[in-house]
Amino acid sequence: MILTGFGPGAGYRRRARIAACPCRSLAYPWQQLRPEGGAVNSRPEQVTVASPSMTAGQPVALTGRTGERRRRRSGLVRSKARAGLIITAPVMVLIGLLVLVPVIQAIYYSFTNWNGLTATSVGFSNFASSIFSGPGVGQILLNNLVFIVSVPIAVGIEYCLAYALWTGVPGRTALRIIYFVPVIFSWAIVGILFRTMLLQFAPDWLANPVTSLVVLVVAFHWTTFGVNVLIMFAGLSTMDRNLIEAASIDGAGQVKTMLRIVGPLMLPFIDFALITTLILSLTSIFGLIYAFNFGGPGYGTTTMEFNLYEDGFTNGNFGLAAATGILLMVVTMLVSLIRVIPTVRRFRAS
Amino acid sequence: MTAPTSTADGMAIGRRLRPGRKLTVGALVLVALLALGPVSYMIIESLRSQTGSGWTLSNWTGIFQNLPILSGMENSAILAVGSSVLTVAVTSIAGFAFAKLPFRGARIVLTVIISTLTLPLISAIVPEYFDLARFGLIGTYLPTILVYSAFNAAFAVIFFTNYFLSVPDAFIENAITEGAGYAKIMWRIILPMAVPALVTIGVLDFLLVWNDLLVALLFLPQADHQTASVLLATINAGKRLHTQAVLAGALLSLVPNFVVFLAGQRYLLLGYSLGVDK
Repeated sequence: MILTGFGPGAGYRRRARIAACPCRSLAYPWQQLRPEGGAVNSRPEQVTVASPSMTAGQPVALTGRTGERRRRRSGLVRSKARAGLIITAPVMVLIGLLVLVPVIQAIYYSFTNWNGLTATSVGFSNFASSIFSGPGVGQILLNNLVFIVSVPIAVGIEYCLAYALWTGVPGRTALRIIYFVPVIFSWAIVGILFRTMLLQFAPDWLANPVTSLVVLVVAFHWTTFGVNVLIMFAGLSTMDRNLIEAASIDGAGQVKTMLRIVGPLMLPFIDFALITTLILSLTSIFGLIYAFNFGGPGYGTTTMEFNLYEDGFTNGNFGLAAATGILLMVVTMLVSLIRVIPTVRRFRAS
Repeated sequence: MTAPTSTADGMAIGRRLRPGRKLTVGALVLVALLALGPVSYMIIESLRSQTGSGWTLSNWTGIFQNLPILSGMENSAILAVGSSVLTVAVTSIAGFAFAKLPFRGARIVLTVIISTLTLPLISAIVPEYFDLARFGLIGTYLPTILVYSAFNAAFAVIFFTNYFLSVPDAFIENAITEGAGYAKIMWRIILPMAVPALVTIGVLDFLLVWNDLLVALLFLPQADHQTASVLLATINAGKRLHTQAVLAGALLSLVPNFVVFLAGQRYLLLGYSLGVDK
C-alpha cells in the first residue's frame, strides 16, 4: 500500500538521463523500482504534448527545453524533491479537501442564514446571536467559563500529584497505572457511567442544572487527570534529582522546592497540560455531554460545542452553528498559538 | 535519619521528606480510589441482578439479545482499522518526505499542516456533513474513514517528521550510493526502523476513532451502520434496557481500550506527550 506512492513516478525516467548524470547511482533511485521502465518518453503527458510536433519531424520545443533544464539541475536534490512531492501528495489532498475546504466553507456559511439548502447573507448576526442574544446563551457561556476556570485548578492539583509520585512513595508504579485507567474510557462511556451513578445515588442532582454541571466537570477531569499526571511525571523524570537535594541543603521547604525550584523548569509540561486540557474541554467533549444528559436540564450542561450541534442538526440553523464553530476555532487557535509557535520555529530551524 | 547514599533512588529521597510523607501518601491513595471508584462501580453493577440483590451474568448474556452490540463493535472496528491503516500509510511516507526529501515549498506545506492541528473537528462538522450529503455519501464507511484520517493526519505527520528527522541522513545517503531506490530504502530500512512509531500512530488513531461519537452519529445514521458508541449513547438508559445491561455493553465496548492499555501504555503516553518541547 505504501509503495503505491512510489509507483507513478517510477516508470517516467529515461535511462539516457541517468547515464548523463555524474553520479550514476545517485541520480534516479526510482530506477530501481522498474528497471524495464527506461523506455524513452513513457510519460503520458509528455507523449501527448510531443506527438504532434514529432510527427512533423521537428525537435520538440517544450520537452526539449525542460529536458535541458532538467539535465542541468538534475541529480540527487532534484530527484529527492520530486520524490518528496509525490509521496506527500496524498496527505496534502486529504487535509486540503477534508479539513481546509470545510473550514473555509464554515467561514462563508457563518455569515449566512443557512438552512441546509439556501444561504442568504446576514452579516455578523450569527456571531452576535452565538455570544449575545441566542437562547440560553448566558448559561452556555457560563458553563464554558466554569470549564475554563476548572482547568488550571485541576492542572495545579495534577502537578502536585506528579511531584509527589516523583519524590518517591511506595507503590508509585501501581499508582501511575491506576491513575491511567480512567484515561482509556471514551467520552460517551464516561457520560453514561456518571449519568448512571447519579440516577442511582442522587437522582435529584440530574434534574438540577448546578449539580449536573458540577458532576459533568468532575467527570471531565476524572477522565483527563491521568494523562496530565503522567505527562508531568515524564517531565519530572527528565530532571536532575540533585536539584531537590541542593534545595533542601539550602533550607528550602518541600512546597517551596516544588513551586519555586522545580516548577519553573516544568513550565513547558504544565503549559502543555493546561492548553491541551483547555482545548479538549472547549471543543472535544461532545460525546460526554450528549451521553450525560443531552446538555440538560435546560441549558444546564450545554457548552458552545454542544450548542453548535443543537443549533445545526436539531434546529436546522446551520449558519448559526457554523458561526459558533468559527468562534470556537478562533479561541482554540489563540490558545494553541502559545504552543504552535515554538513547534513551527523548531521545524524552521531544523 | 541518615542521608541517602544514592540520589537517583526515588525511595531514598522519599524517606528524606518524612514530615509530610504520610499526608502525601494518603492523598495519592485517595486519588487512586477516586480513579477506580467509578470503574469498580461499573463492573460490580454489570454483575448485579436487575430485579434485586444477588449476582448474575444475565446482563452480560442479555446484552447480545437486547442490543446489536456486536454489530456495533464490528462497525466501530471497520472505521477504526480503516482509518488507522490509512492514516499510518499516508502520514508515515509524508513524514519521511518532510524530513529527508525536501522539495520546494515543503516548509510552507508543513507549516500549513501544523496549523491545521489547531482546527477542531467541531468547527468544520457542518460543511463536512453537507459536502458528503451533496454527493450522497452520508451513511457510507469510506468517506467517514477519510474524514477521521484527515483530522488525525496533522498530528501524525508531525510525529513522523520528528521521528525521521532523528534518523541520520547518512543512512539514506549510504543506501542510495549502494544503488537502492527510495522505495527500497523506505521499505527495507526506514519502515522496519519506524515500527514503534507506526504502531503508536496506528493505535492512537484506532482509539480516537473507536471512541468517537460525533462523526459516527452524524455520518452513519442508519441502524445497521451504528457504531458501539452511538448505540450505547443513544439508548435511553433504564427505559429500553436496564442500566445494568447498558453498563455491561459499555464495558464490552471498552475491550479494545483495555487491550491497548495493557499492551502498550507506553505508546499512549508517547503519543500524548509528543507535543512537549524538550
